[in-house]
Amino acid sequence: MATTALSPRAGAYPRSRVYEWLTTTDHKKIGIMYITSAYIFFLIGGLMALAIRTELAAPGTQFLNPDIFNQAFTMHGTTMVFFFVMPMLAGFANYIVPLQIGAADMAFPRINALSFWIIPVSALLLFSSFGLGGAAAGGWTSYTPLSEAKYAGIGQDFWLAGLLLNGVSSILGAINILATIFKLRAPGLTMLRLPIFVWTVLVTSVLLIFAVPVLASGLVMLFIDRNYGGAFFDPAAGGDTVLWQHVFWFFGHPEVYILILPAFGIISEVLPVFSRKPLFGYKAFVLATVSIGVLGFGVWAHHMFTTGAVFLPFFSITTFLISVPTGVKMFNWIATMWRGKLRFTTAMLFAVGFLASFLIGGLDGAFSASTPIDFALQDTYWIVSHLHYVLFGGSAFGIMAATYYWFPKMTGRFLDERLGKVQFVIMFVGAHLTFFPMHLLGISGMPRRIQDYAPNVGWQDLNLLATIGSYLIGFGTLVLLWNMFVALRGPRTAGDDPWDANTLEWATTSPPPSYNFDRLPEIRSERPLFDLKHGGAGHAPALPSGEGSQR
Amino acid sequence: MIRVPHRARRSLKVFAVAALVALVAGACQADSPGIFPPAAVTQQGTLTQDLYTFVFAIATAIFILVEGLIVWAVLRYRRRDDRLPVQTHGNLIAEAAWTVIPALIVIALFLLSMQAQDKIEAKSAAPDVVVDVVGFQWQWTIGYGCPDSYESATNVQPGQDCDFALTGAGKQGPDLHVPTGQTVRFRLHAADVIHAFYVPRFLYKKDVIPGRVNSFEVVVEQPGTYAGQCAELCGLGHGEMFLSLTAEDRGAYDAWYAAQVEGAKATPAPTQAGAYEVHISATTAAAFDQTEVSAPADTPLAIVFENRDLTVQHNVTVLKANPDGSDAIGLPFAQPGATVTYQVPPLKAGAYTYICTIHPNMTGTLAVQ
Repeated sequence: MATTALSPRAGAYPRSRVYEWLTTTDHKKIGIMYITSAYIFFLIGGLMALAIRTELAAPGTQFLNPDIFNQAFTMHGTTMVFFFVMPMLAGFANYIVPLQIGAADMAFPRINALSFWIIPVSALLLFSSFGLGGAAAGGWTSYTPLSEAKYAGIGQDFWLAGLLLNGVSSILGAINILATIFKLRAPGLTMLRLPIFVWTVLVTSVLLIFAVPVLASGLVMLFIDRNYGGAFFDPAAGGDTVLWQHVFWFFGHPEVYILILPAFGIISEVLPVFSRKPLFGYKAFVLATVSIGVLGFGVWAHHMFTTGAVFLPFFSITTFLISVPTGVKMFNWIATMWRGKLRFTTAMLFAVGFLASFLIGGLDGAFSASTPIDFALQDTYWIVSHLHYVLFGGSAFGIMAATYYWFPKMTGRFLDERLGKVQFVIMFVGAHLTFFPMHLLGISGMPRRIQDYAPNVGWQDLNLLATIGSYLIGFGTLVLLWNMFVALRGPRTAGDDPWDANTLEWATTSPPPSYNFDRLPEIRSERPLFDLKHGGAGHAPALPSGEGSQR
Repeated sequence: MIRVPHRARRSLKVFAVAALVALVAGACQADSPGIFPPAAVTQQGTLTQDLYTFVFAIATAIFILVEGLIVWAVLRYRRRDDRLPVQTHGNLIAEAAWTVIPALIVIALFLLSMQAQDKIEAKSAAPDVVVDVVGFQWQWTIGYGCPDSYESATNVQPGQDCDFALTGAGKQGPDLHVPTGQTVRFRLHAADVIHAFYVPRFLYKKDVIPGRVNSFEVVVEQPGTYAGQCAELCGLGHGEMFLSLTAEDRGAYDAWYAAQVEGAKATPAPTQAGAYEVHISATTAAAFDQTEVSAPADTPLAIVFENRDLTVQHNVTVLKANPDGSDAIGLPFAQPGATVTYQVPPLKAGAYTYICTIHPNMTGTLAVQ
């Protein structure tokens, strides 16, 4: 398709490329900026993780004193959740959703630019605290009263302000995504023909709109407590310190699904393409996604079983039940591969790695949902293991799959598959080496967030193993960076549809022109491109074949 | 379309084997922690242990089934030709099965959990022993024989109100004793931030929250000494907030109790005549009010410490001041608002550093001339 000649860049007003990127409202450029900045935060958060693991490799204080250690794990968690995974998934949603629904851009392109540019500003606010008296040190959950003015320094205020601003970005982005999905779908693209990635982003956006304002209210209350003599969380003045935990986790648990649902969506794009089969049980998958979204608001207090302040049976049963739709997805993914023709590209390897790893994180959930077992495991390294199996084995592997899958679309270039496989093997082994031993440490009684442990309690070997694993993950990340660096200097060889894929983003050039599509194929299912290439083979017989051949 | 090397299968096997070997190596070392919790020493913990074993068995079965299906699909359905596979869109029976069966499993697990939970969280009308635990940055005070008002009182001073109170820093923390085979109720109070009372061998923990009194009961069945540690992030010293718990038969417990009461009654030795008095105070946890004090050499010292900080306890520990070179630790800690006098043996001329044991960032210099 000879479309690039029509690009507005060839017009009468030549501008520098930097100026163009800084002022762009193109969802694709904004998406790439989201993704790039999120990878930078991944490196920052990752370095903090390596520092933490280095300190914990052996008993005694070798590398970080308790003060810096507490800042490191607080900022590691905050960075990874709010500045890596969330913007990364927002970036992929930004880039891919308008393309997958056949739209020219997002519904509100300038608000889109605003919601991206808030991220670096909020990060600057957050990270400046390192140089201004020390960053927040109360954990990414910042429980009161430890985060109140009496016990925490000014870093906590920077944390509150940074997250508040970050939340504005999330809410704006979510509204924009919802408007885009509801109003800008191509003709024929009914809700039940949306690609699953779009569905997961849709549900995620609804979660954001309900959850983030609750966090914002908590952040403002704590800011008032700290700076204007409030007492929302101060029991001595009639407040309730457990209230913070309710507010935080009412946001915080839906947040877990905000971090994982789009990764589910990515996996649900990658597995069918490289199995050459449709996603097994599309409608069940949509239903499961929606029910996870709904149930996700009813499980928050399972983070608070040991407070003695919550009604245990309700939160136990909801937590058990939310594993059912998640299990449905797992079986649907495997059934998608079943009797397919599997091609093990790097994207596919990360998708399979996601299944194998996320399963462990999911099974862990059954232990935590059981209140007596949670009494033993809560706040130990077992929880650290569980959450990293979900967020690294889940979200991060999904992000890696998305990176390898959509890089050709975004740049016109392939990431090297050989390097990709090397990276996958290193990261997969590294992740399990890092996070599996933490199960055992936690069961045997090692609390989380401790800077040191005694040499005689038997935690040395497993901690060393976890540290070695974390270095492997770091090395795998370097391989990815090298791969990107080399690929971006190489020729554009990817073509429009390198993976023989199913969805609309592959029906335009790589990278797409600023207006996205010259023409769209007719949409009769959730796989318009597959229908185009295979004449609707395997589809409902009611549809006449050959209708989609418009090229 | 790019070519994918057909080595995918081999590399998959390699990483699977490598990961497995590493994990098994990690899991099977003789004295290392395993995939099961350490043996519970309480009646309640035993219930948790049984439940854990049951959930673990089910989780392992699901793990083997699902990972087996994944591995099978990966090995069996690798692409060998370009023909389009059968385009299956779903199967209602299969999908209903993998919705309903897991739902039944988790409902069963829920019911078993609730059964165990009701027994673990049960409270007796009259426990045999009540122990009050106060968490503060970054130690525990343990009160025995405390008044009934402690059942709901949130600001408590076991040192003043109870038969006796224990405290202690270091790798052991205070050594609290409980009788075996009897119902022990722990009542948990927080003096500053949230802590969590956690004894791993109980397979149980409970948060220690300001403004609330949490409590739980155990019957310890195995005599022995068990380590415990704060499990909720509470600031700088969170990783060093230890306690140790000794379970012994009722006779030994009663003897220990009587000895502790005697010790608490014994009046503290009066200030030695002729001791030189040094006055030190603290208003915040950031620093002592006096960072340089002086005293004559070879004279017994009495450090009169006034804790004007109404938020936390402090003390004055003079480093390397004992004749054997060890630190002269100021005990007991001064409660907020309280004044305590610490005896320090005669010192040779020189500069000594004093700190607050709880807040090592609070330092000062004692010049002995």
